[in-house]
Amino acid sequence: MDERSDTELLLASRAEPVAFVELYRRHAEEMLRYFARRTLDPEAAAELTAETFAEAYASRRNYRDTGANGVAWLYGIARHQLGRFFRTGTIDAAARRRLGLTREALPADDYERIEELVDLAPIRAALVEALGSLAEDQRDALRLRVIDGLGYQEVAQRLGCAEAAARQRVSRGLRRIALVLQERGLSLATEVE
Amino acid sequence: MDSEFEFLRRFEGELSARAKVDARREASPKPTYPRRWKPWVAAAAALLVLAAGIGFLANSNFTGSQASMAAVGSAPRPQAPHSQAFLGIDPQTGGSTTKQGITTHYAAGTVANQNASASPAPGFEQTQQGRSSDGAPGDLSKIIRDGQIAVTIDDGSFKTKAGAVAHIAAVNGGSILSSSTEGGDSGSFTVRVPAANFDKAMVQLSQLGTVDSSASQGQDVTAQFVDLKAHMKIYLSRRKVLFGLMGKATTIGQSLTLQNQLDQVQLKIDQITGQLNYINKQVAESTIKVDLHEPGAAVAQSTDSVDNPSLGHAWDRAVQGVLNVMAATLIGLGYLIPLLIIAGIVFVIVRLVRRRRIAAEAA
Repeated sequence: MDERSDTELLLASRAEPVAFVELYRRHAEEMLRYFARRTLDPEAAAELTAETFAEAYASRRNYRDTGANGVAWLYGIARHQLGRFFRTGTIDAAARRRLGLTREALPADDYERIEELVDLAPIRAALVEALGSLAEDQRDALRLRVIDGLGYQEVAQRLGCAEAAARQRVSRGLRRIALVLQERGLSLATEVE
Repeated sequence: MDSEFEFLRRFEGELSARAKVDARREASPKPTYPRRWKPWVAAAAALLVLAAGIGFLANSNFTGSQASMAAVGSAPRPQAPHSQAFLGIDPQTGGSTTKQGITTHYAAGTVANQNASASPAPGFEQTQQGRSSDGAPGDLSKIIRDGQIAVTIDDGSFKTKAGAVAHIAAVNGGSILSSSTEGGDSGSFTVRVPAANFDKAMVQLSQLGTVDSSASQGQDVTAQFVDLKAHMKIYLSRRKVLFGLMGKATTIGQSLTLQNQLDQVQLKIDQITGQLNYINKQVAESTIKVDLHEPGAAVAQSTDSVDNPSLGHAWDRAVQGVLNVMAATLIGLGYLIPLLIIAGIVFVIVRLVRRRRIAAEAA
């Protein structure tokens, strides 16, 4: 276990790139949770987490120790990525491409675990209201998954489609809901600094 | 990493591998020039070369249009100040007059078939102050005119044609200043003719055979001439005053001092008179360098390299070359920069539109 602080790890990673991996180990899950609560979309959350760390790694030499915790700098990049996601609806992969890192599909088990990170209870009412703005297939998938609390296998059976398709409908529906909530200024989670 | 998320574990593996590669790279010496700079350097170089090309093209078009304008015009007219500025000469300073040359080149064979008795051939006529040396009434401009012509003559006709050159010089009131022959089939002649007959002599010389090249230069010495005349006027009035004072001198000391000053003024007057006479003579007569050669004979070297083989001249030409390239690049950039700005604006607009379309599709 590395005893160095986040700031020290960031500074050390300039000459010793492996030090950055320790920073990743410390904060990757928390970062994933941060994105999951804001995007409501496991796929988007995973992608944004990977891109944020890739971007931070690529620009670690630009980090300046201003006395604040190094992790604040990391979340600055995260906020930037999130803003772009809400603005354009797409996730940039430029940093990962630059570093030669692959863009892998999210494993099925992770999909459900990431959803568990998001506490949907507080936004359930808002969700019901926002459901009206969705396409029919997305609305049905979301109702079964989020409101009725069914598993993906059962959702797929009810909708008469493959499990992957059901997952995709839920994912797109959640992303749309997240955008709607964002536009209405509803906070899905507290800021992590 | 002990994360329950397989995705995070996989990404950690990739990030770790990348970090190890970078660590190894950090340990090895860095290249002097990162590879990603090379495309930028190449692009900048290509841009400059393109700019220089455009500049040369624009420059040649500009000078070409000037030459054609001069060829079309029939009446002599003073050289416009802007064209003096283009040649790098300050039109306000008299000192530039000796450098102010006007050169006209003619393509091979263009004047070969002109009638000797006719007026100067079209395109051969010197419209740029060309006739001013004749001294048109009221025209005070002084132009020294020189020319070169290289002619290929028929086989075995060199002796006859050499005689014809002497005849042309004599008919036009001039003479052959110098001549040299090589192997009995080629030779060079320096002919002096009155400036009034310069064009006529050039046309007659072009009748000797097929013209390989022909050029004429006009050197404007008007400002220098006017300047000398003004000085002369001043010195003459000063001499008059000194003569008056000499008559009133009462002591030997005064007489000696005045005499000394008078001598200096007289010396100046003599010098200026000599210079004015020289200019008048130069203006009154033109020099034509004639190269005659039979087919296959060695062509005489250009008069520049024969007459002025100096390092100084070579250096001047080299500097002029550098300045020409820089000027052409600057002109080319003037054309390119607005285009690049427009292209940049279009690029930004297209990118914005694409982003918005993607965002709309995603929504």
